[in-house]
This record gives sequence, structure tokens and C-alpha cells, in this order.
Amino acid sequence: MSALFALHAQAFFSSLGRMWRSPIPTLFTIMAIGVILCLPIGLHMLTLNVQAVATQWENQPQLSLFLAKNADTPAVDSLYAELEQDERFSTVRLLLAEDALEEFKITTGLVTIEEYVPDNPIPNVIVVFPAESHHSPESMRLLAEQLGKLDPVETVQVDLEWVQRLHAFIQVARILFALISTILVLAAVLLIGNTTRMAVANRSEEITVFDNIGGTKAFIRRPFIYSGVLHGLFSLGIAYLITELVVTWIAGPVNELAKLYESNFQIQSIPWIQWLLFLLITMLFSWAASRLAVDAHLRRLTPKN
Amino acid sequence: MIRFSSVTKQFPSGNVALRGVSFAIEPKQLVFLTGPSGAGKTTLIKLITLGERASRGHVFVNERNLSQIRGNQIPYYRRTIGVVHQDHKLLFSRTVRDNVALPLVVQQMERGKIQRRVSAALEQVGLAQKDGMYPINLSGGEQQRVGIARAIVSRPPLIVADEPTGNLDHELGQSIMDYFKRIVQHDTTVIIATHDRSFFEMDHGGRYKFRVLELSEGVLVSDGYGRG
Repeated sequence: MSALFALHAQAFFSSLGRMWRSPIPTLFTIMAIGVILCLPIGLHMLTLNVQAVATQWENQPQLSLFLAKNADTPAVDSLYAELEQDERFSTVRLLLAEDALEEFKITTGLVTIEEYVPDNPIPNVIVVFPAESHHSPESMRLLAEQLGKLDPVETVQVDLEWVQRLHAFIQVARILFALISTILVLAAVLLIGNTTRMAVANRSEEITVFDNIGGTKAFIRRPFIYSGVLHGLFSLGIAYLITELVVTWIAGPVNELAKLYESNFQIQSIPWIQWLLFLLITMLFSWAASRLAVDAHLRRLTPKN
Repeated sequence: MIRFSSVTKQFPSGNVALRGVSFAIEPKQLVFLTGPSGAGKTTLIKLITLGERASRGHVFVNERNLSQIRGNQIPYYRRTIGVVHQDHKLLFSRTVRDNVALPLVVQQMERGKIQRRVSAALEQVGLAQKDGMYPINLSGGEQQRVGIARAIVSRPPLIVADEPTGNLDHELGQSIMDYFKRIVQHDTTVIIATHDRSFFEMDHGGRYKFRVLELSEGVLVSDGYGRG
């Protein structure tokens, strides 16, 4: 057990030593892979933030219940009280026709409007804000249908299109980002595989010597796999640095922009648990790419009849 | 120790390197395998080291039928053979000591034991003082002695050498041959493939008994003994 551990430690440090002894090629390779990796990671971060923005927007959906002109005050109050008790709504507001007319006069400056329109044409309106669990387009449609049947509601206004568009956009973006990310991750894997292949080609004589003296395939393969995994991990480190730099750089302007839209949105970095997942995925893919590259060479050493 | 039974080796190109070769080598023999270039010497050595497999017939080493050794078992089989190459096959990025230690490293031998074995092997080939040097700084003859030290360090019962003196002048070649003769004394079987007949042609009547197997166009054409 300790001998096996010693072999692994030896392979690990010899791989690290080789990388250290050729800093320029190593740096170029890990920078190239790092830049490739930071693109899918950046797209993932963009998806996270678009979702966060969408969630903030989705907090705003509301339904406006335009009540019948002839509805009396007790009926309006009764409906308002009923909706306030309803747990499907987080907030319920009553906009009385008189208040709405006063606000209209102030905002438009038409203070003498009543001389031309003696009857207030604005109806009483109840604005309801559905709870978060009812933000989906389907739930909103269902609520509108149910509220429209209540007395003395005459019309229900709900702008569902933008919610649907937003969801559709997020869906398309997610698929597009997944596709682009897959291609870029594949490019990174191929780059690691090719780096290992070149290392194998440079050390083919050494491999032949180890093969001749009884080195097992695992023994021969081990330093190359460590080298591939180390390349992957260092590249992920580069991708992490670039991503965090970008977040730090754009956080200020994004916050300013959000404030202009009266939003308290703040750009989100990738959570550490997801970085841990990236770490595992990088290790797995680097291992697979290196192993494929070494095995392609080792197969040639197998004697044939 | 080694038995070839009607062994034929045909390569995918159609070239037949060995045709129905049969012979047996007893333990602790020094065997010269000779013949002109293209006679099949290297192929025969490769069949013993499992660098190639026989197309027909069987090769037995220590009563083991090599055709029955599976791919993943080959490294363990090769650890029982010391191989010396014409081009030495040393790693120039490692010191003499590290090169000699390689067979023991792959066997995961304990570090202290490796050092003791390597020192003994280097002592045997007269390179104890040069263990920290890199092969590039050694002469051709010294490099070949490092190759021999690497072949004997794991104390295998069989050593095969493919044209070990090919790149050396005759005097150096003779001294390398002397090392092999000494190795046989340590209960080791040694097979040396060489096209240079001068190493064994004259029977000097010395203390070392050797055997000569001669190949020509893949066929074993003669089998004899001598003393040198």
C-alpha cells in the first residue's frame, strides 16, 4: 500500500517537476486551456445572473381587476377583504375611482376635467400581486380566469406575454449556452489530450525502456495522467481568476445600471459548491483525455502474432 | 530453460523472419546466436522477451508457454529477463545510478534495497565511481556497461543481448563479452545475438564453455559448442 502511494507521489511530483522545468510552454498551454474554460464558466455565470434578474422581474407581476361602474361600496369592500384573505396573493391594493381621478388630474394638469366629463369614467380597481408560487405564465392565466368570474369584477388585465417571452428567452439562452459550453469543454479536453499526446511522443523512448524492463501499463501511464490532470486543474485556476476579475470589474457598472431601473440587483459570482463541481469535472475529463492519449501509444507496444 | 518448438514468425507484411526453428537451451549456458543481417536473430530475441509472438509453433521459457501469457502479464514476465540493447536504451535525463535502478523501481522494491543492489551491479561492471554521472558524459563502452548493469541489477535468471557490441570497436567489444562470461558464473543463462563471429569463432580452450546457434534466412543451420 505504502509502495503504491510512493509510486503515485513520485509520479505526481515528477509531473509537477516537468511542468516547472519548462515554464513557458506549460504557461502557454494552461493559459490557452484556461481561456477556453472560462468561456463556458462565464456563460454559466451569465445564466445564473439572467435567472436572478428574471426572478426580480417576476416579483412584479400583477393583475388589475377593473370593477363594474355600478358596483356599490359594500360589494367592493367585501371583494377587497376576500382577496386580502386569499393566500395566493402577497399584496392586494384598492384604487378608488375618486383617488385615481385626483391622481390623473395632478399628473396631467387637467384640473377642470370634471367640467367636460361630469361622470368619473375611471372604475374602482383592485390590484393583486400573486405570491411567488403563482408567478408562472400558466398560474397567472388561471388566476385571471378565476378572478374574472368574481362579482363585481368586469375586466381582468394581466400582461402575460412578457412573462412568457422572458421564460422562452431564458430557455433558449440556456440551451444555446449548454451547446456552446459543450463545444468549448470538448475543445479543452482535446487540448489536454493533445498536450499529453505530445508529451508521450517526446518521451516515447522512455516509454519503450519502461516497457522493456517490465513496467506495467499503469506505471507508464501514471505520470502522463498526473500531468494531464495538473494541466486541467491549473487551467481551471486560470479560468477562476479570469471569471472573478470580470465579476469584480463589472460589478460596479451593473449595480449603477440596476439602480437606474430601481432594482437592487447585484451581479452574482459562481457559488463555491459549483466551483467544486467544476473541479471534479475538470479532473475527470483531464484524466479521461490523458488516458486515451497514452493508451493510443501503449497499444502499439502490445506484441502481435 | 528455453525451448523453441517449430517456431515460425511471419510479419503482417508477409516477410517470414523465422521458419520452423526448434532448439532447447539449458540453464547457465552462454549462447551466441549468430548469422548475417536479416537472418532472424533480433526476431528470435523478441520472441523470448515477448516483444513479438510466434505465428506458429511454441516458445517455452522456464516451462511457461509464452503464447499463453496474456497482455497484462507480460510486464511481470519481462521482469524475469535482463535485456541489453545495441543502442543501450539509456535515459539521458537520468544519472547512471537512476538508469540502473529502473528495473527495481518498476518492481516497487524498497528504496534502501534498490540502492544496495544498484551499487553492487555498478561495482560488477566497474562503474561504481561514475554513478552520479549522466550517460551523455560516458564513452560508448561505458554506456553499454551501464546497460549491462541495468540488465543484471534485478538478478534475472536469463539475460538476452541484441548486438551488444555493435557500436563498439573490437577491443571494447571483447571486454563487454568478458562481462557476459562472468555473468554466466552467477547461475544466469546468457543469450547474445551477434553477427561478429570473431567473439566465438576461435576455440581458445578457455574456461568458459559456450554454444553457438547459427541462423540463416530464418532457419537454424548449425548448433555447436566451443570454449573461450
